[in-house]
Amino acid sequence: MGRAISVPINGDVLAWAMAQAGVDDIELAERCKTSPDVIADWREGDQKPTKTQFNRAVARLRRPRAIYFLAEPPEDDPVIRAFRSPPGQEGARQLTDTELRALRTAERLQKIARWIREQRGDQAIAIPQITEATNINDSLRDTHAFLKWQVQDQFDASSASEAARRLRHQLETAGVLVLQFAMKDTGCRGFSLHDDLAPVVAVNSAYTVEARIFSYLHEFAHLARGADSICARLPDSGVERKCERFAAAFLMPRKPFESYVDQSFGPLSQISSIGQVSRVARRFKVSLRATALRLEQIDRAVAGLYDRVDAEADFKGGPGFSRDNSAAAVRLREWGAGYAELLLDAQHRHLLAHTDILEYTNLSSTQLSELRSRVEVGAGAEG
Amino acid sequence: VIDGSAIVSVSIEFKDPIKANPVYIGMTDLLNRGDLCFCDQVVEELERTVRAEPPLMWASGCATGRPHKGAQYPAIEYVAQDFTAIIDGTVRDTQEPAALYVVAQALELQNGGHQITVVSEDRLVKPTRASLLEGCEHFSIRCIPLLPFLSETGIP
Repeated sequence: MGRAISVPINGDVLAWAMAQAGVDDIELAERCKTSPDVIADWREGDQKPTKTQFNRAVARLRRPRAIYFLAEPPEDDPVIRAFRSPPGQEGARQLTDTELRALRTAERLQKIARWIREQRGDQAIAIPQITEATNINDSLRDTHAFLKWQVQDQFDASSASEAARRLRHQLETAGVLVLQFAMKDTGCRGFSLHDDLAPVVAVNSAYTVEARIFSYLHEFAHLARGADSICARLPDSGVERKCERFAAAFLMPRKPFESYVDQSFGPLSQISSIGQVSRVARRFKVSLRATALRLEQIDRAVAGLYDRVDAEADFKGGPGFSRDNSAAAVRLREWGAGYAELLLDAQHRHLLAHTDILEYTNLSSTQLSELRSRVEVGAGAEG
Repeated sequence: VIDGSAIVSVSIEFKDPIKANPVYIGMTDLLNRGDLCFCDQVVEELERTVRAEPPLMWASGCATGRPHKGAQYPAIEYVAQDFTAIIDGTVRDTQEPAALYVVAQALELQNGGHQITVVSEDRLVKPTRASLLEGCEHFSIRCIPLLPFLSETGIP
């Protein structure tokens, strides 16, 4: 039997990739079918992996093979570093594997989108800013104008999915990249990546479409505050609670909201049952929890109503998105029509070639043709 | 040394199979004579970008007859360290571009005394990595697009 070929990887880069992925010697050893001591030797440069072991390590750490041959490790990802130590929280947050993948994908798409907009000479995306000094009513008015969105658009939508699709379209038209990632019910609700040319909001597709509508606005509020964020299921800081209130007030403006509650349950009534919350939620195409939150904010809920709404109600309870699962449909659903339009425009302007577009969409030529057709007919998608 | 973008371009430049087939046959002849090669990573890239379409069918079909199947690790390591910009560090392992490996293959062959031309349509500046053309320029390797290559080699 021939001697196995050793792969001359840089141990420091391996150590870096492991740290970035949150993988320790024991986990990688298990994956590579070796012992933790051997992994330590790889990191220290005292041994090299075989080709098979290298392939297994690459598959677990999800970085391109080429980086392991670099002379020194790449810079730490500042976003991942920041999200491991969110402001207002003590200690490091252990990002899940799906969150890490989603963050890295979002950063890649943001980098590509930003580059295209720079090449086109686009103006910065003028998101109305929210500061501590900003009056919330002014912010709400400016944001409604910026997104060209009124509560009537929610009423007019035939379903929550339709409302989400339209709202996503408005965000994308305004220049925001809107992404969806399957981050499971253990992952964050969403995150945002601030950038003057390619701001990103990303939401967890494990949540119901009503919950995602709320998350779009919650994450948008973070962008308006000029900061990146990663948001847990429940608001866990002052800033989170402010973004929560902003999203609730945007989607359920006080006047039409109170008016509907008065009309449905009587003037000055206090909402006490989940059935009542559900009726209001259906009208505004938002989640039960968002509705309960808003009712409490405007003193129209009995004490503890929000806590009684089951947190699990925000989850879809199944992995399925929809029946339209072609690669092009999935790409549009996950990465958004806004990103696809940018790429197609870059090709049209000869900024990028056909094969570049394949590289940046992870699609084959045939699948790209389908995506192009879908974009041309304005087929956005919500899961 | 031909890359995935050039192989894909055969089906773009010659949409009619009657016109494309002689090109594939001409390239196969070159390959069988030992004058054309591509690395394993190009096949992997085509598996992602063209799936079951003619460019992949051609590359898969003649892969075993290639005179050179890719660079050894020292050449890969050298290119990675001497022209880091060719690496797309933002991409997942399963989507890694073949560019670095194409340059490494060309460089290894060139250093082995062969007269090398890289055939590639990967020529535009990109957001996430240097193009193959930039990589070739860095190492003083000749790099031409598909159509001039076909013209030079007399492939119809």
